[in-house]
Amino acid sequence: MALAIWSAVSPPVARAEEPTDAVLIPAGSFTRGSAREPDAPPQKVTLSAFQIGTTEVTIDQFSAFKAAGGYSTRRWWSASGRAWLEGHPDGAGDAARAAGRDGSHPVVAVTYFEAEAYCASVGARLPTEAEWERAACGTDDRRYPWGDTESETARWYAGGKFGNIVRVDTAPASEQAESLRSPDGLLHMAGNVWEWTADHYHATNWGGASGRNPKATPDTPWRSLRGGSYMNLPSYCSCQHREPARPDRVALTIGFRCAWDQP
Amino acid sequence: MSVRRPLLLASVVLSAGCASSPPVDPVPQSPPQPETATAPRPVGKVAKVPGTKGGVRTDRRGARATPDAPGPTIYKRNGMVYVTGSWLIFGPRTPPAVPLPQSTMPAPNASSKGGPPGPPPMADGSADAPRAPGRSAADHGAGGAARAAGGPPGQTVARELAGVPDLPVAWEFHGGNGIHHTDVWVDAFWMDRTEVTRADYSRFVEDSGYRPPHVSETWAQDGWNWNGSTPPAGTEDHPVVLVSWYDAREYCAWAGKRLPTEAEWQLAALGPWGQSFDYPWGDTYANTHLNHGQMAPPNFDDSDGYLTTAPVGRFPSGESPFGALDMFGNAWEYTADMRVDTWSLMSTTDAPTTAHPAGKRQVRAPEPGLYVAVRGGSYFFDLRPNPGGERHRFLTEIRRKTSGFRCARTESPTDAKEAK
Repeated sequence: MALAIWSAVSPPVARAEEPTDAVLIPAGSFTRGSAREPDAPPQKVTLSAFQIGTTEVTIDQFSAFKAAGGYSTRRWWSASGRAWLEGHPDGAGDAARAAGRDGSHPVVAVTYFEAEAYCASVGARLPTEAEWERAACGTDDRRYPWGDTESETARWYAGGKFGNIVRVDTAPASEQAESLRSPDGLLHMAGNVWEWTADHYHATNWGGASGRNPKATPDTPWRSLRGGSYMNLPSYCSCQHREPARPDRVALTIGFRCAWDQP
Repeated sequence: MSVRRPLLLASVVLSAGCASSPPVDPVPQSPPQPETATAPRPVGKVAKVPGTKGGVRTDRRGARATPDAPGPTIYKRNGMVYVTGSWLIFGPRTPPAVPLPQSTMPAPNASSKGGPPGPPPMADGSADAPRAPGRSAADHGAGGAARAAGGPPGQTVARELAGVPDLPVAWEFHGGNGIHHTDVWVDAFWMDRTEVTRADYSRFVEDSGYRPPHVSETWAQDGWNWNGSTPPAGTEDHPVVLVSWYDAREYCAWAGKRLPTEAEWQLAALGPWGQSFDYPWGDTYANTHLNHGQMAPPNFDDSDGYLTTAPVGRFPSGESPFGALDMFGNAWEYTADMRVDTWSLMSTTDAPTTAHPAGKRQVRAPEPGLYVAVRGGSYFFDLRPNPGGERHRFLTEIRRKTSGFRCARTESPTDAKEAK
């Protein structure tokens, strides 16, 4: 079905049945990181143009991937993803996802490997940390996608105190949240669900990544999560906060979105 | 371990090697018996056991206070203490509607000759000699005494369950969430004697490149956040806090250990079947035995000498029956288990066996979940109202200034990665 088309060579994202799409982030330089964060020293980097999903990948989209044989199409999986697949032929998070949410919620309980394979199936890839941060907050030094102030309507944990009942279902990806969009129009870059990025996590010096299209060296067991979730305080959801996670982590707060190279 | 005692170290390695060569005992909770034969003679001091007088606990519950049951022997090794396998009972202080079946309480270690063996005492000064070289079944309290006398164990269980004051382990719930009453078997394991310190965690951060404790909230900027891998000055021997559950798991993995299950934590804190207490040191609350807080705001309390965290091991009078320190108070401690409110949700996948007819061993709450079970309370609240173990739930991803942990290990720690 449509998946077959998506997996054909190049991106451009002609997904008629979907309400949202990808946005083009033009090439340019910006300073990533923040002195507020212990593991994100400010660093000027330059990125080529790329596209990134306006929204997080939804349950429906991920289910279609699975129904179309996503877990048995080896070319969509990396070597480490295939190794993980050996022990999890049906994935990891089905039971966790069956929480009664409608299909327009962001998919959660997906490992890095599954996110990586999904993106490959639509001719995409996971964004690098630098791409993610550029897409989330633009080129100025803002703390959140919409500015520097915390927002009451953002999909993060706010009010009350820890341990009290908070909303367990995540916000529909199609929810109107115009005021919370990033400068480039992306939704839910802060809060809602954590998003996998392609980079390995290093606590210092960005893992040796610098300059043009930086990418961290692969010599740690962790990948970087970005954006915080509906269960996190605002500071975890800032554009600069980084969180280390093993790629096989299955959590009710972790999803992803895809990025495409701009030809 | 050190170059200071090369000969003793060699003997330890030798005994550990011997332990692995004979056929493995199929009963997993059986301690490393072969080490006993080759272990050097103990030269360490006998561990001080709080709440005892002449080797006998003075504040045991009346029904089980038999003068010849001195409590578990304390073994220490490489900063860890040995916790024997035992049954535990979880649940509220109400008798179960249906008594346990007759077969649910086998004699722990009944198959091993000479009573439940422990690991060998260590003679390198880092370990203390056991207080009792061996124990009889009677050491397991009323249940053990009944078994030793040939009494039917099932009746013993039912009687203990029905008698409200006799519940071996019970707790009140923080937040009022009820759980079902259940009993589980916990296999023997080793547990860190103290909470993981900031010096420990600093070595981990430097060695692994993992994220240092830091929270970008204003409340954390006042003496809590680390500067890279450097903790706030003067707090190196305090328990590490500002760590998430995932952070704790990464540390334990780095140290060659793991987080304790909730059942393991409770066993280490309160003692084995038939000998467990409401508090680690006994059944009577004592404000001097832990770094506690107070119920009313501001909740912090320095009447114990510490407004917030205290250096680990600063309250030896609060030692648990197995020798663990600061199990109550100081910092909350992460367990390996998701927080669920019904134990029936926990995994009890082991099929019933002769040794474990109930088939309930090492229960684990399934992942993923949003909350993890934390135990022990912290410097931030009064722990008096929660005999049997303060229990709460923390979000797995959140870093708090009360969230700490200690690690556990199934294998003997003699060959553990040198983390301290």
